[in-house]
Amino acid sequence: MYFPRKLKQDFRITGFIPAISCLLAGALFWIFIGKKEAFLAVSVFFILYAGFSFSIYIRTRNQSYLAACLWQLLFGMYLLTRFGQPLIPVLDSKVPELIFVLFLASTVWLLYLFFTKRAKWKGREVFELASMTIEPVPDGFTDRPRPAGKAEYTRDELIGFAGFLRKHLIAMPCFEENQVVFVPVKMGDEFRYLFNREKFRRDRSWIAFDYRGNVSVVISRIDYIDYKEELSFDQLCENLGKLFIGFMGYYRKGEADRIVYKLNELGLGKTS
Amino acid sequence: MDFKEAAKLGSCLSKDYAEDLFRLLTTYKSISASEAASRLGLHIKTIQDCLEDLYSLEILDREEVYEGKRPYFRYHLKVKEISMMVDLSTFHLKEDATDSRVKMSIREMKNAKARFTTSRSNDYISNIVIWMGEGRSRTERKINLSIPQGKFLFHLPFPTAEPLNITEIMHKAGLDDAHIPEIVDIVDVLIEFEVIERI
Repeated sequence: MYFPRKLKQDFRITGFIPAISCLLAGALFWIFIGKKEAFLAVSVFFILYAGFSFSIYIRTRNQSYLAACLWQLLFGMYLLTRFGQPLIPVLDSKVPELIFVLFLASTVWLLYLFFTKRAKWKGREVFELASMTIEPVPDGFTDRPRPAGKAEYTRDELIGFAGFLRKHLIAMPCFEENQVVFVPVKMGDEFRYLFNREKFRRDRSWIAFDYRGNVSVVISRIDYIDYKEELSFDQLCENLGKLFIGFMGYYRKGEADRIVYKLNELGLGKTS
Repeated sequence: MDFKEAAKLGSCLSKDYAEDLFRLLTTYKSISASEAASRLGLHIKTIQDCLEDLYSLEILDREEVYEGKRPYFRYHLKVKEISMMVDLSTFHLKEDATDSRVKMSIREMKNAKARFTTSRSNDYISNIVIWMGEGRSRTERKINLSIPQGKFLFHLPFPTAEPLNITEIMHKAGLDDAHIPEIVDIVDVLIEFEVIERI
């Protein structure tokens, strides 16, 4: 199904920057120090990066980060123990072979998660879906929150819903005293979110569900100017609120998979 | 006594020399400004202004006298006691649900030069910062809002939304008619500062 895009195209390669940096550093080590040191540097980098990926997994519970952690760890270990030229002494000669097999298996797992968009931060999909039926109307922006209506849910349902959206990288929840605030994170913005969550929460759009059933929405200027045209701001806020109220409805009915289906149905790129 | 007269009287009574001046006024049959000033060790203009204020409030009476030089005034007490009563109910804007101002349709103005800050609970606006002027002469004015006002502004229609009248917005915000005067007050202020437009 074809949906006209309302957001500007995204050409950022933020997700690839760590890998590119690592390979660049490895190449420099190879040129100026030596081949063995280059392999050692790259393997150490990947093992450290596996730790970082694991910390993201702990925060998001998204299994693609667990797969990435495993892949990075096994790749680093493979470089250290590769056949014939191990960088560290290996007691059993079958260990490198085992690591290689596990590495290939984790690669398949990671690619499966990548191509099924389970590793994708879905903020762009959220904003595309919210803007689908909206016409351009200029000069509507305001930084005021907009009450988006009321929804029915219990506190436990809201917490469960937050866990679901976090796990599928749809919106990151911030648990506050009397509400849960959801911040949709676009692909390419994930490191900004991960490294400075409070600032990201302040500067970006959010959808707040309080424990009395009130839903309010803020669309930030940064997210608003990411649209190709000045869309009717009031409708955009209303739609974003309704979208999340609808998501909550699906979650309460036990049809949460529909949320992911609706977002994936838009057919946006896997890296944008 | 209206508020301005009460303010003037309050100002006279609050002077640190007021008690000594009234002591002189009760002791002397009549006294001139220069006599009182020299007696209290103050500048004549200071005492003159205070005596004139008390005269305008009809607490003192005065008579113009000539003693071979230019005329001057001698003051004496006209009353034996001072009482001050201010009717505060005159400040109350008698707005009710049928008032035309409550029926006016409003919404946030496009490109309003204001920043809204929400409360920690995110269900009302706690203050508004309004920018006035341009360039280097630009100044900020911060208005802290009462909770009913904040709830009202939280439900104010956006610049591109359909305008609503004050009663409708108050209903959406869950406010009762007792808050009408303070709501009308903040709406008037924000219309003046071009943050809200009246349709």
